[in-house]
Amino acid sequence: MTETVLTLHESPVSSVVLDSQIREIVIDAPAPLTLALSAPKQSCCAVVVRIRQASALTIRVKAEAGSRVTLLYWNESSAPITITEENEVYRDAQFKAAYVQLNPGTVEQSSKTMLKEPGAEALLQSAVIAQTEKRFVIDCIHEAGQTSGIMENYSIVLQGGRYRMEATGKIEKGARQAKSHQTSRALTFDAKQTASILPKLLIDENDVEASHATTIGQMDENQMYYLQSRGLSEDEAIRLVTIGYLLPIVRISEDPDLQKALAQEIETKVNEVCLTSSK
Amino acid sequence: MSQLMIKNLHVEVEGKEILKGIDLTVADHEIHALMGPNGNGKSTLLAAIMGHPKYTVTQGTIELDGRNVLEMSVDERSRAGLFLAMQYPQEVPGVTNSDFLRAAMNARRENPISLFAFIKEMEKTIQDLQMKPDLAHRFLNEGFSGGEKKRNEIVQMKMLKPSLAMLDEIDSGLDVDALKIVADAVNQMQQETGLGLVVVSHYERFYQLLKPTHAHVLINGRIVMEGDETLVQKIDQDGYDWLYQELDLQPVKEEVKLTFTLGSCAASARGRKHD
Repeated sequence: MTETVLTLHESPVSSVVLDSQIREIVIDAPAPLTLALSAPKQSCCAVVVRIRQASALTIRVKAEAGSRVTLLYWNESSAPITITEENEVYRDAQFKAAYVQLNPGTVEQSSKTMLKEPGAEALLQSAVIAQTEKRFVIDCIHEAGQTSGIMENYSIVLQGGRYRMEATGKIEKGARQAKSHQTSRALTFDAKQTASILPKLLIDENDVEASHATTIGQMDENQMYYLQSRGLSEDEAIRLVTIGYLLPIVRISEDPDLQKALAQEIETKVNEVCLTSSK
Repeated sequence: MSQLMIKNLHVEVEGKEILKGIDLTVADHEIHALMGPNGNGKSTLLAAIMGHPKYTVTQGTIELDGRNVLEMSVDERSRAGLFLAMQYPQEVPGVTNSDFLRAAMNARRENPISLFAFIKEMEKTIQDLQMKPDLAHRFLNEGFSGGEKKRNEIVQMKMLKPSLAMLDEIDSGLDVDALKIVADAVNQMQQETGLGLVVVSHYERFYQLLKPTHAHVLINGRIVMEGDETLVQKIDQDGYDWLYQELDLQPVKEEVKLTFTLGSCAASARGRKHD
């Protein structure tokens, strides 16, 4: 079986069918690009969407009944980018999306995931290093009952960086036994940096489960003391804790090679930007 | 030959003097029991030696093998050979035990340890402390039980091989079996490396297993009595009252912060001990 890397320089005419052979989609487009992806019923795919270049990107994903879709958006662009994403998840489909935004460029992302039929599940994760401005609006909308939506957002905000995460779990009337959970954490390096997290739960039904947890703050002094008391220099302690903030995202993939590549990328980026910024 | 020498050490916490002139010398192969009622400065002494930023040394000296410890940062003290097994080990989510320990080992080596050698050593140490094999991959102390945290301190001590280790109530929270495992691991390491030890504990059982060569009693920021293992036994049997009488000292009450909460029926206000 040959694995395919699909490189797009402009919007494809028709929807791209996600099958198990597509391993990677590379977006390298000077002009705005629109992409429709569809996962057929009962299909299974794990695709890296690598963003090399794109001023504005619109992505629509349809995960049909019983499909299992994992998309890992890996933004490598240093130019400003606007991302608009809409995902539809149907009966018993499992949709996982990870947004890896470690790049220096500004990002404005709006992402809407609709759990349209019972049994639909979504896991939405982001790992962000904000050196410039990065703003996210992530909505997970439960249109049907027995659906599950989990959002996990981890970010590092560096000197001069601005981070805003507005994450909303919405359970519509009639969506009984829906589960909406979210966790957002932002680590800042000094008091001047701007990070705001707005977790929202909009619930219009009883008999549901919902939670949110948020932390924003600087490096914990007690953790630093503990790590340093074992011989780690201040820089090394900062490095470890920082990597630790972003690392949970690698678990989105079950592929050990991809996990390793992603962990490596996180380590490299943290080494590059955090240590100089923490001074 | 390794030696920690403390002379006339005065330490303040938030402007209040806790240690009022400590003299203590610990050489390798020696095991020093540091005793005394709660709130008299034992943990303060260990934390000040390690360099906790909250503790300010106002007078006196600490030297390790002739080197001025007070001029060193916390990590330099560790790399110089000091180790503090903490009473309340910190949880660090996101950082695995193995990544952390490997980084800590590499911090004191010229060439990084090979992954193979590291895994082998870590597995052996985890086995010695009879901990679960997944310890290496768990986040540092996160979700650990009290006993697991304490044992993990000893895992770290064994792997980092200090020349002088301080154990701050490492036995509290351990059951009888775990206490024996920890004591065996400490004894084994002490025999192999000649590690010098300063041990704070409230229980004679731990001291029985470790067999201290020296004992010190710290009351109100001063070492008021010194001896050997027999002093440990006497205090275990008789407590500290005889010492107060013999030395004409007034007991220092541990400072208890009180928080007041309204009772459930809002009829009475009660002080509650604040940890």
